[in-house]
Amino acid sequence: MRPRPGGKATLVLLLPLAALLLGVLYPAAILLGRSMTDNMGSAIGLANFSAYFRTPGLATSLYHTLGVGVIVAAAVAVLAYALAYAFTHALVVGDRACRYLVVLPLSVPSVFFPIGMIYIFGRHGILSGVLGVGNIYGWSGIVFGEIVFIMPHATLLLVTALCGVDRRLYLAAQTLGASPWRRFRTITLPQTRNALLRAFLVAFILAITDFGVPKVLGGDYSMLSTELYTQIIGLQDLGMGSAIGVIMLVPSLMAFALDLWLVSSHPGQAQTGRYEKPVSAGARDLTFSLFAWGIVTVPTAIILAAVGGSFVAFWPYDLAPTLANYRFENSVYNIQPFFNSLEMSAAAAVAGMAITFAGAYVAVRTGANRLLSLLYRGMAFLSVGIPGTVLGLAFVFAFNRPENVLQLFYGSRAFLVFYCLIHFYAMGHLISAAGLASLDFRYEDAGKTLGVGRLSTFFRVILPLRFPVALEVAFYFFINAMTTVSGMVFIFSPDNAPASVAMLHFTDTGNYGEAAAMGALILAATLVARVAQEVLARRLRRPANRVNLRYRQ
Amino acid sequence: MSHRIVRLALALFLFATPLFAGTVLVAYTDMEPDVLNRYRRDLAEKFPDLSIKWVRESGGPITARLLAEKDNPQADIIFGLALSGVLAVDRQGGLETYRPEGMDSVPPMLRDDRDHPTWAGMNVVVGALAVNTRECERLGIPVPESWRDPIKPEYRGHIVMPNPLSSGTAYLHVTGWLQNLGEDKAWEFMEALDKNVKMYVHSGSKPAQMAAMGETPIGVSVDAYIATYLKKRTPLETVVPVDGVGWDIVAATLVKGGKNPEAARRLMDYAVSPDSARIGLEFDYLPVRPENDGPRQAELCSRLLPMDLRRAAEERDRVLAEWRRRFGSE
Repeated sequence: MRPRPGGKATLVLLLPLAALLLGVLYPAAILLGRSMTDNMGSAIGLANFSAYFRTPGLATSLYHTLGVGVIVAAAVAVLAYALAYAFTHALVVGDRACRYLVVLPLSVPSVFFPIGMIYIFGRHGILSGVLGVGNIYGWSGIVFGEIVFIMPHATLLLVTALCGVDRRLYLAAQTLGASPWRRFRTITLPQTRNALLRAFLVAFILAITDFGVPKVLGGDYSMLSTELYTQIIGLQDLGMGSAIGVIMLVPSLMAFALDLWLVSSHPGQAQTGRYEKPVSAGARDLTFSLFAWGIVTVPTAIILAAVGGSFVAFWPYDLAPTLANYRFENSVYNIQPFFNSLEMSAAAAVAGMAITFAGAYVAVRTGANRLLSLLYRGMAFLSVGIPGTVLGLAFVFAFNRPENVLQLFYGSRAFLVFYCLIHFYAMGHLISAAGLASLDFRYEDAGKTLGVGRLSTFFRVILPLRFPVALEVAFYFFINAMTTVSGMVFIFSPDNAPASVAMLHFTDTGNYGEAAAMGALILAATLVARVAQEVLARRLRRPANRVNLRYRQ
Repeated sequence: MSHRIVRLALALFLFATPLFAGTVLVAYTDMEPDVLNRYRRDLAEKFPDLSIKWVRESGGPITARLLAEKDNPQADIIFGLALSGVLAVDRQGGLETYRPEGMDSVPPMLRDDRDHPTWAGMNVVVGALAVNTRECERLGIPVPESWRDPIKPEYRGHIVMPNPLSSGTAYLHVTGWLQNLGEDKAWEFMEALDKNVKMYVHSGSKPAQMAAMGETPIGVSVDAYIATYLKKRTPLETVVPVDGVGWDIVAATLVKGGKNPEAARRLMDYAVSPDSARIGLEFDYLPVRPENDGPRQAELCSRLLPMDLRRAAEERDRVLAEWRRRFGSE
């Protein structure tokens, strides 16, 4: 069915492939080399690694991280599954609003949650009088914060999977008199088991690599990400820091490989049925509505508390309302980081959309050189296996060296855009590829028959038809570039300090009000972008159809 | 909004960093934001021809940045960084030698006294306890006065301390104890203190911030960090234990390979000048120049423990390994 070899199209693949090799493999290799050197840069083999496992306290960070990862992933998988089930298999009251609130946490950097959590659950928190003073620092704080932060990622994945369960199976089961529980056990669960596993893995990777939550709430509960920070920033031991980076890579790459295996060995599972809304059922809908709203209340309340905190003078002793926090006087950059982030994220959105969409088009629809295509897909996937903190560190080692011509590029805005591009490449590619693969492959054949070049088929048919997909990719890059913290900490320069890093600085200097204010601006920007994306997608859908018709004539 | 779009377009197509007229100096610092703002106003007045780009982060990140950029220096000058960080960069040969004008009138203990000095002190940061008096009252614990207090059983779980593995603030306290109580007694003291510590945090400013927000009654920190909160409406107090505290120097130094050595030297002269010392006094700091000291400074001075900062820097790896062995495995 697929069009036969497209020689020139293969060339298009070379640019993104080169970018990926430069941004993923090269820094990773440099980092690996750096992990086998001492602080002065002389080679010492695996001494850093053996020192890591011998030093009391250091090795603990690995066990802590894995433990937290498993617990968070399990909790997230179960809760997100139930939540996704509620949205797909029951009628939730205020479904649309509730869905928006589910993904709301994606719109803020992870450091935003600890701030809100302190306002709600801290010693003087809003709810501490009711719930009693719990300990929000250390293990409990990290686990709670990570669950809140990771839930939307897993929920999105599971909603897609649960939508795909064939409705006809339910109808058949119902006619045969199967109970709801039995239907769930024999139809829903088996059909979505892989997605559930994948949600677990995605949550696991995010939980073991996040930096924002443990940085603010970790206390002395050491995690790999904070230990890496301590080694590089506190002890200036670059060799050991790199070794920890490599150690962090191992479980993350393993989880990623497992995920890849799940996707490739069970493709397109149960995607035959068309999704239909379930018929209403009082008790079930009420239960699931209460559950869904109960779940989304938590992150929403935390975010609202943090936004509220940005409008008071000094929590908890001086609650006078004020706008002073929005003047950002306690930073040498003032409000500039917010505009830096807007520019950087917009550039990342445009560049990310163009490059992943073009790359995915060539890889999926043109039958370009098989080997090259495979390599490209492999690299695109691999980028997600490298945690932000590790990638940022590797970027510093790889690009800030005099013998590298790209040193000129180091620290510039384009450098940060390049980092975002690499860090979020995998999802951009996946969204593009999924969107392009679901489009009828005969368009290209038709074009060929009509004597129209591939390029004009792409611009006049494929792109207009899949413009909403391209917009979604752009939005994905935008929102993530706005909120990412981990790697940015290492690579920003004074000209381009992003808003998320400014937030981290404010929490460092104890200006929580200003940190919250910066977070609120980020939230506002991503919400505006979301609305713009939806409006634009809706507007463009009509002309797209026109193009389509004209083409058919 | 439209100029933003134009700039965005430029950023997209040119990928170039903006060009400035005049000399642009890049200065790294870990000074508190409010103090830095005061300096910026003064510098704008005194050096109208210089445009200074500031990079302000905590001591750790700044030091790490300097080390990472050693082969491709981005900064011209370090304008205020804890000496422990400065010495770490110096050990790797990242600093330029320069004797600022008027440096000789600074006490030798507070400047690099070698023939070819790399750094000069600006002010002294003094180890202190951040005490939230309202929280203390609520919990029924007295405000501590000396180091003998926080190891008493009634303070159990009420103290937040920075982790010396990541915080220079914590290390200056540890050095103060080690060099004055003697190794054995000092570790014994830290064992006793450890029993009362609720948690060790990453940075030296965090305990002050937590005490200011009432998240802990007592935080181990330094005077400069605590001072930031004293202007806000919070029941916070700076307690400098009467039996003496550790301290560190906030130093200025030129970065080797900086792109504007001439202008950087002018800024360096300013950093150790009486004008700069006066700004320190406005914030109740302890400047390295004693000539304008008030009663507050005299009191702080009387509580400084005798310390050898260079020795502290040399022993750092050994001391931190020992600290990690004793307290780091939770």
